Amino acid sequence: MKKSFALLTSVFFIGNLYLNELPIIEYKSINHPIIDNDGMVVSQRMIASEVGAEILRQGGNAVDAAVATGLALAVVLPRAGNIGGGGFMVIHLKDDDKTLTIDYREKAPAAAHRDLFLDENGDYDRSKAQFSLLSAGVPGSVAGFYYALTNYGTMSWQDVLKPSIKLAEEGFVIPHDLANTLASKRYRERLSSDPAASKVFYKADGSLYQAGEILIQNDLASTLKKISKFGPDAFYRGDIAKLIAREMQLNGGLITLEDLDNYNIVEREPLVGSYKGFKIVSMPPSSSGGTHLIQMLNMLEEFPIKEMGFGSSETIHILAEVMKRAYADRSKYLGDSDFYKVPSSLTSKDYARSLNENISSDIITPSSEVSPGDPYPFESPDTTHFSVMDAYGNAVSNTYTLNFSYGSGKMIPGTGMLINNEMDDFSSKPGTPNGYGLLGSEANAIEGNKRPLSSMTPTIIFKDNEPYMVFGSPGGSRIITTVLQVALNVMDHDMNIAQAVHSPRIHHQWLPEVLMIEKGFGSDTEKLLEQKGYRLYPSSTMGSIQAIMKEGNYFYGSADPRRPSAGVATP
Amino acid sequence: MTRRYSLFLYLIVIFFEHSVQARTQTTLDYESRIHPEIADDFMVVSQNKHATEAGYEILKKGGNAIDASVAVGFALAVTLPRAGNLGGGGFILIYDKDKDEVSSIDYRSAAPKSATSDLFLNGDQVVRFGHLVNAVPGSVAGLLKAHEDYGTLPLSELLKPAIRLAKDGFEVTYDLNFVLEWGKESMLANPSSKNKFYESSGDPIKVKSNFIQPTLAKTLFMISKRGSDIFYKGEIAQWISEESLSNGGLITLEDMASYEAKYREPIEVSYRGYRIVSMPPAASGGLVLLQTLNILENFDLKEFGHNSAQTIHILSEAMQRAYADRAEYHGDPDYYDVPVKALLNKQYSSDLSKTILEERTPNGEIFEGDLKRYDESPDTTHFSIIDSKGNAVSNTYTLGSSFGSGVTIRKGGFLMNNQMRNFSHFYGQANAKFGTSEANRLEPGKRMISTQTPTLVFKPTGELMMILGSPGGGRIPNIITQVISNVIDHEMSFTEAVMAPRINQRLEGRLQLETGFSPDTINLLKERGHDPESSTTMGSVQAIFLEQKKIFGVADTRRPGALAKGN
Repeated sequence: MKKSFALLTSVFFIGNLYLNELPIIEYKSINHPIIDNDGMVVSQRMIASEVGAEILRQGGNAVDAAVATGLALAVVLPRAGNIGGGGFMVIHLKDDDKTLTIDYREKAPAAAHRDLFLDENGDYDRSKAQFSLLSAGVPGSVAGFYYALTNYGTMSWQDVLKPSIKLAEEGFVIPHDLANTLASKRYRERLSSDPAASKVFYKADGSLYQAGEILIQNDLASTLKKISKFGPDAFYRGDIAKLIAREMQLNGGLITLEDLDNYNIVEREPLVGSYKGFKIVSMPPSSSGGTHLIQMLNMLEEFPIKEMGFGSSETIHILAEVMKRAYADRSKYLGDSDFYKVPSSLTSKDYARSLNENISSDIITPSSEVSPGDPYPFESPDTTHFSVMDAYGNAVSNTYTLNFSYGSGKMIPGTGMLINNEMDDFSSKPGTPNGYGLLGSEANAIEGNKRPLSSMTPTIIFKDNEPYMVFGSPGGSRIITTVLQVALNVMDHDMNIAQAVHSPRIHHQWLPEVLMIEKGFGSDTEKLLEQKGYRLYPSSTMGSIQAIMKEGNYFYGSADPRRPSAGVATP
Repeated sequence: MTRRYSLFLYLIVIFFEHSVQARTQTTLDYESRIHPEIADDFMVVSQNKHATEAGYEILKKGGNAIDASVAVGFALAVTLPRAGNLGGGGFILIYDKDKDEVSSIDYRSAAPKSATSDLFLNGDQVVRFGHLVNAVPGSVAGLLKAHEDYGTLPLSELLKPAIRLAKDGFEVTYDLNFVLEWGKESMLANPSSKNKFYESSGDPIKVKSNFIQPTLAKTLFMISKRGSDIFYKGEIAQWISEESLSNGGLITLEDMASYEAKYREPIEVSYRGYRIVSMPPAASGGLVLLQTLNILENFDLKEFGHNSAQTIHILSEAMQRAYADRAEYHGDPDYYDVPVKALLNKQYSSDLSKTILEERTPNGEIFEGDLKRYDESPDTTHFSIIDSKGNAVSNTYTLGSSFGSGVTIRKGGFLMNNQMRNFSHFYGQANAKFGTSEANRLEPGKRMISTQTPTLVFKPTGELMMILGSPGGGRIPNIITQVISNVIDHEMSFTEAVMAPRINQRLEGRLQLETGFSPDTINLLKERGHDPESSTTMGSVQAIFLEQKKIFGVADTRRPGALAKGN
């Protein structure tokens, strides 16, 4: 690391104005969190958060509330909430002082193989990989939720499913956000070309639902009822399994009854890192999220981020250099750890130090000089995260997805359930140079029963060994950098959780060689970055963080305003 | 390689941008970090959710924007005691859609007849709290006059939500509890306030407890049945006057009886083709806003970029020039001939803009203008409402400081303002540095100037586009200036225009910045001779924007508890 960081801008903003008072509300921040003493649920839909809060009110713990919220999102947030997809859950149990993770990511059907998505010329076939039933992995959400609830929850499976069944059966008020995506050309074309999905999301004459109208999902309600009555057996071995296998067989998918029967979740040890005294706990592979979050924090720990200040061109430059290196590694070393040995040194402080050696405060390292790998397509930004903390001290951080918004756009007839297109997250053409002259990643090649690589980063940060921040985000490849920046906003820049979530973000993923930047950094900083040589790409918003912070006896919640209708609910 | 690279870049860009919609504001705009409340028929935005609900309820029943504003105004007096009031005053702008006409009512508090400046001076300080600093309250007169002339529903209907909230109570929020902690200095000194807002231990009423105000409920009920007279000439006037006179205050029955809310001609300028309409004196905020915009019109702010050092510098210099004139020329027009036309003259602004250089003008070198040459022609709260017919209300009112004078009228259960502080009590003192303007010197029955700035903005094509205002004391006009410039110059989405970090600059003060400015910009400002300081947040804009037949409500997040609700 070059020493030019000695010359720093003076610290301009003094911290909290009211240091001697309880900082419950500090009027220096433009944004304020929701405050409560009794626990909190934060998700992308206020109605789903309310479902979780009601579970807490009934005395349920954070796992009960998380499972209820996750199932409710499958009804009220059809673009990402799901039972036809998969994801990752990080759980902290106060009494056992234990933090664990559940990997319920989809698995490739047994018949899947390395060249699944190549056409007759050996080229990547987008429509196969993204919009055919071939793109469906064996869903994990039902197994994941059931495992979490029966092992770490306190309430019955039937009780936590009740609110979702009600929301599906009686309907819910359609928010502008849902009406808008259903009306957009992209999703309208995709969903209305699938007869089952069209029936659910559009009116009988094909016209659009308007915001404020009620959406009822009868097929989904009956599917949830079966799951409620028979547990995951209904889904992996019973009626629902049969409907899935039949549809696959009829329309060119790979998932068989045997694949469904074989599906398993894995409880994994969490990845643990540290940053300036905070303990960072996140998801190990098959998500890449935790690995690179910790890798980047390790690198950043050596820079005076706080002194350089939030949003300065200096800070943004260092962030970009660090992100670039982490994403280059991601492309090479990350895959399902059950199939590929992911090097554990990625999260070591020594490795981070060695990467920092060639970061300069003045010069942008060209991406070509950062070790090459495969810039295979990252997962789409349409995932969703929710966070729960209860009054007992337990916490759940959960991210799950269908991959694209509404998955492949295909609904399994008779189930009301959209199916994921997660198979596209595999590296489709490993081992051969692709159109950009880069080698594909072996670590993430398609194999039967393997889990595709993910960026989902459900995270818990501990302070003095107590859960301090519970958070995560959607955003595809941008998830990891989004989570990283919110963590820095709190740990380095002393922002309250709402300000930390609202503040603008950047993203660099090594390739393409552009710096993505949200609005709000100010044109001076943008100019300085351009003078330094950055190609700025003004981006649509990045991620949608659902976060809880706990300090003393207070829970502080912030639902990201970037995607409307998210909400913090309290018991 | 370059070509392939471009293609790759293009694909990635497409990939990331798939959810971005065209920037029309007809739908949600996913380039913005924050989004408005959207509606088709009507909208209420206020600092408090119960008050917003009260307005919503009235609009839902078929009341018009003025009906709803009366309901919101009285509800805020119950649920936002730090600023909502019966014992203060303010300004209301009313847009009558049918007539396409804006009218304004000045219901600013007025000086009791026996008031003289020496009573308020304590050395070089002005007395802050207690009965002495109470001016004659104007809110009841103002809201009821608006109702009488424009309302459609009976008054008793409009006060129902407020009476219900006072009688049945509402849940104490962290925010209310926290501000009461701050307000202790003035509030604990007054037994009625102490009884009402604090526990016997002296701690503020508890978070999540139910706060009921039976005495206030009774007062509201009396007003709902008997209108303005009961307040200015009847029982309530007696309570106020008796308590005032026996506690060192100045308000007599005659002061109460002679108070009236007054129609004034709204003031306006065009800003890059948009028509900006605001409150004339005795408000001074409108003049500062319009004059600042007039100066800014001479600069290409869009080119300079939002919140760049250059833009901030120009804002800071323009604001100082407007404030210099405020200190000299603004006052109650019934007592002082405010040179409104000259102040808003475009040539004057253009001449002022030429005195703005690349670096900050040193303190002591900005003076009020010589207007003969152009002779041709703190804690407050705002709410904005539009009804389904297109009528609109932009209303700002206040008690002065948070909780005003800290005095609760014992028999009435409502707080009184401390507006008497806001005259220039140092008028005529040669050594005083501020507070010396003749225009705003204290005279019997006069209204003190105010920076409250309820504002309406019309598009170049003539349609109403923005309804906005803010609390924030002397910072109010600067806050409104920036929100308007954010929309018109920087083409920001409505919500981002309200949420973006703000600056404040008063004459010769340090440049104040909210959090959220880039350290790079701060360094560049220093190079221009500014000495920026970090500030608490500025104001709390409650705004409605109209575009493409949709209504967008934006409740500022700077102070917790605000709500926009539409239908």
